Amino acid sequence: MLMYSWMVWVEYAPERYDVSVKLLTGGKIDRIKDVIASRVKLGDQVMDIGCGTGSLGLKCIDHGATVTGMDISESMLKECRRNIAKAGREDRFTIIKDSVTNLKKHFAPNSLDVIVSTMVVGELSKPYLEHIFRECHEILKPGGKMLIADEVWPEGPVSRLLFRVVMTLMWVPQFAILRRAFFPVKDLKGVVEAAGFEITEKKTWPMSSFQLIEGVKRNA
Amino acid sequence: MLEWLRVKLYETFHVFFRHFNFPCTLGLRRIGNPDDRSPVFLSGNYTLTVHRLLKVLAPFDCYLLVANSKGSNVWCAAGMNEYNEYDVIDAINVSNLKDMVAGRRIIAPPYAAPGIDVEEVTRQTGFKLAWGPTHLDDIPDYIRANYRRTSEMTLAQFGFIDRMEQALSTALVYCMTLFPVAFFYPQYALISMGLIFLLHLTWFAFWDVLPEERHWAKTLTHLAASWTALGGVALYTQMPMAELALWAVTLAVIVLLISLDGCGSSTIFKTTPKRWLKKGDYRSHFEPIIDPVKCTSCYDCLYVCPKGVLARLPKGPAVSVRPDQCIECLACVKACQDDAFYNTSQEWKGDVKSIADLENIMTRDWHHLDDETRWIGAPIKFQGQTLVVDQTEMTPDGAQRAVTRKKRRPTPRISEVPNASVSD
Repeated sequence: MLMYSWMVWVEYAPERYDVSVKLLTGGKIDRIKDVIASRVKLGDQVMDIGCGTGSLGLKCIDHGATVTGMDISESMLKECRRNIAKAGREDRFTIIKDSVTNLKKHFAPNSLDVIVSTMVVGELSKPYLEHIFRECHEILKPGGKMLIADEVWPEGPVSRLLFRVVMTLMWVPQFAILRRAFFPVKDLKGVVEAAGFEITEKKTWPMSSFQLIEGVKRNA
Repeated sequence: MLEWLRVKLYETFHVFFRHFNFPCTLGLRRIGNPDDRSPVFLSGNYTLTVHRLLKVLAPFDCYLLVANSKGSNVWCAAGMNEYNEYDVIDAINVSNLKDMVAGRRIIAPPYAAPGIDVEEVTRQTGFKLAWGPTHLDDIPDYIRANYRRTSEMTLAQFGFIDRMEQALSTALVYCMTLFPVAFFYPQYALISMGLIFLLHLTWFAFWDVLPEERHWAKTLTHLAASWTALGGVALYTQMPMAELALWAVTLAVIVLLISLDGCGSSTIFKTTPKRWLKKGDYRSHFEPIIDPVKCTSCYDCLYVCPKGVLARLPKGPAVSVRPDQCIECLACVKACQDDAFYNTSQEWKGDVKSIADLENIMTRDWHHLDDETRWIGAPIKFQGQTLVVDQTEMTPDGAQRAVTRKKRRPTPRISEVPNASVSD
């Protein structure tokens, strides 16, 4: 019965995703999403990789953007559609249910102003990220921005050790609540750079493993 | 030596923590010296599985494509819609597999079938998924047999070693949950943890020996045996009455909880506690029936059924022959491109999230297929990897149908025809 209840609890993970993430990041995730949304300008074409429950996309719409969200999780998208309907933004939020390695199938080259993504890249391996970021570089307009925020491995040896201890301690509760284990990225900046972006900002938060990378596509 | 010890410790750790996600690196692994003619195997990114696969595949030159199952085993991930066609397409796109191999076939684990729309993978990438053996230990035999599955390789196995691993990992989760109690009643908690491990091991070790779960028979036998053992210990140690009562209740609670967990795991059956309490068995809700008009005889459902629920007529559509054996993995429903599946019980558990219009399929009216229930209990035999209805032994009258529907006969032994033709 114990395992049975666990399984049922796990099944409803998407419904409580937003609350769980807020809890596990100590409310930081909202502030990070606000920072990302504040970089969006009126009339921008924004694409959200792994839009999940749509919270970041809706924030971008509040800043005047038109958003396309991509995700493959049907249960997450169900929450997303509910959130969009609640905010009354159906006209400016498009959902594409397809894999993020198929970006070029849905977007023409030089067609987007901004690409945003939070808490997605941690779930993917480096070859995946290289592939995705390369395609992102192609579909962005010259001067277009890519904003990625995720958990990364800290750079200093002391903070790295500390981080490892916290990760170990948090492993069980994180799994129990979210059912998603985070896998911090090793060299996010390097991977973004390798895809041809010029890094214009690398923002970190005190006492946090979160990092925001802003890359700009320079050449046409 | 040190390396051997490290590997053993690593494997032991992962066996105990099997109920947690452990993702490993995604992408294409080269095993041996594969070239453009080498086979490609598909897997999820659960660490222990990939570790064991690499060991099993070591003697062969092949590719292992590790797609993102979010660190879970493929069966759970597929049902939860966390290992679907998009994850496979991602892996194919990123690894650039198209340019690496000449063939367009990927050997996939059949337990992934509840989650993957194979037609979509083919449409987007050109690759076809062929279902391999259910158990990875069978892979060498499968390769040596020129990539053909025997009948055993299509069925879910729950052998002794598998059951022991299940016992240890489940017991560990119980103990972790009980852990806070150890701060208040350390002695009680520690002995209970010991009992949890012991009872899980006996439950799964004697799984084949204990009677089948009908009217709680398995559970009650297990409880009676553990109470008898407790009685023996109590007599020997002259245990006070209050203490005996405490341990009797503790044993009963543990046995009951373990039995209720039988409702959740697909390898056994997958039902709801409500049904178990009411009827005392583990049978699943879903009882498939196939519309012969819609069925195009592609037999995709037969290839993915791990329990031998479905068979085909010698020259004709797939039919449902052992719906009582169904474990509701819904791989058949997912695999069916013709929308031919109906549900005679009209009930389902609902933990499989990978089928979009599941509610409609499960509850739509099936009574135009009343006639199709005549195949339930029909004699069947394996021909190659598909079960075929043995019509020579079949009397096509209504009388037999009434008997088989009222009283379920025991499943006949499955006999395999050696060297039969394989269509895959």
